[in-house]
Amino acid sequence: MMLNRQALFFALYVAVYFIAACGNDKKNARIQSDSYNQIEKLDEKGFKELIENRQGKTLFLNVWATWCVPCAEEFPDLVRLKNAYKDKNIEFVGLSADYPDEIESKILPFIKKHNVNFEIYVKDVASDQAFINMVDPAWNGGLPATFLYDENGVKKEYILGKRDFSFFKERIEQALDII
Amino acid sequence: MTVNYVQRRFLTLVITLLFSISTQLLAADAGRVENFTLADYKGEKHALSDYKEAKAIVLMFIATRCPVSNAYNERMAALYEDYTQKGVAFVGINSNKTESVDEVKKHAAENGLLFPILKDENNVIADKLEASVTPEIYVLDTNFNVLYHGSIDDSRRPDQVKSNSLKKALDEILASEQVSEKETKAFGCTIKKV
Repeated sequence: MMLNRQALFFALYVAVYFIAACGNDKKNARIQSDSYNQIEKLDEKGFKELIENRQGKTLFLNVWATWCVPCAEEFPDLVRLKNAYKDKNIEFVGLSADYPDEIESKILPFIKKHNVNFEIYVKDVASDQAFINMVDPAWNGGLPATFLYDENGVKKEYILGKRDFSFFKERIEQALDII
Repeated sequence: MTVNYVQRRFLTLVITLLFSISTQLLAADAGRVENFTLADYKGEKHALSDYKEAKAIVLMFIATRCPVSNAYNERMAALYEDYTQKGVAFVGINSNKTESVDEVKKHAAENGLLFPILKDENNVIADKLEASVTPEIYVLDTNFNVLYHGSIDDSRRPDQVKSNSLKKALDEILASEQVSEKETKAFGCTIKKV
């Protein structure tokens, strides 16, 4: 009986170890957080897919970082927006400018603290320059920055700096024609 | 003879006109900064023209609270130390409305930033130069033409830097060469403007 329990624990340990190892090996591995969100690493190819693979939905893309104070101040309004538009034809996505090795230490605590209710990615590119060019060569590199895309993946608006619920609501209505 | 004289005058006029247009186009292309005067955190006034004798002037828009700007404190201090000896002038500018003169002074002392840091009240100079993030760099020649604009390098993590764009631009200027990469993208915190 004792032996069976030990064998069971050993089998469980091996299973957990292999699941963890497989997860680490997988490129763009999704890491399940305790809250709603999963965090995926996003390289140039992944970003292109995100923009182009719209499946009929418009996109609200907010670029932020855990170290960016105005980004943190803006987040409650983004969460409110997601709730307000949950049944509408719009996808909300946050793209963190932190580093992939900061998912556990910084990004997950941030999204937990702010009760983030939409998908979060983290940049996985070689340099700051590559990151700016990936997102939008016209972007000046300041955070936060928000980009609105229509259902065909065409950029309709680029908004630099912290904004509030009303401002974003107006821009979503005007640029994406979503009431 | 009369025709030749008229032709010659006309030709001279055309050449003068073309030269004038091309000079203006070149100046507009490179971008030029007008002379300005701001006070540093000690209250001492600095005009851009004070640095006319330098081989190049490096204007650095920086912040006290921005983690990206702060990640560059050591690198800025090192660049200042290296290139001041080579005749390059460094001037920091703080345009954030959220950061006081006292805070700028304390931050400079704590981080060993020995170059003058000017307080740009109401972000007048940031607006004139269209600077929007920290850190953001402008390298000028002695006529205040912009020779380089953008980042210090390409990563806020020193061990991940692949391109030292500012250093490269300064080395080229000091070697009397054309700056090969005149523009990079500055990445950081948005300047908190009024």
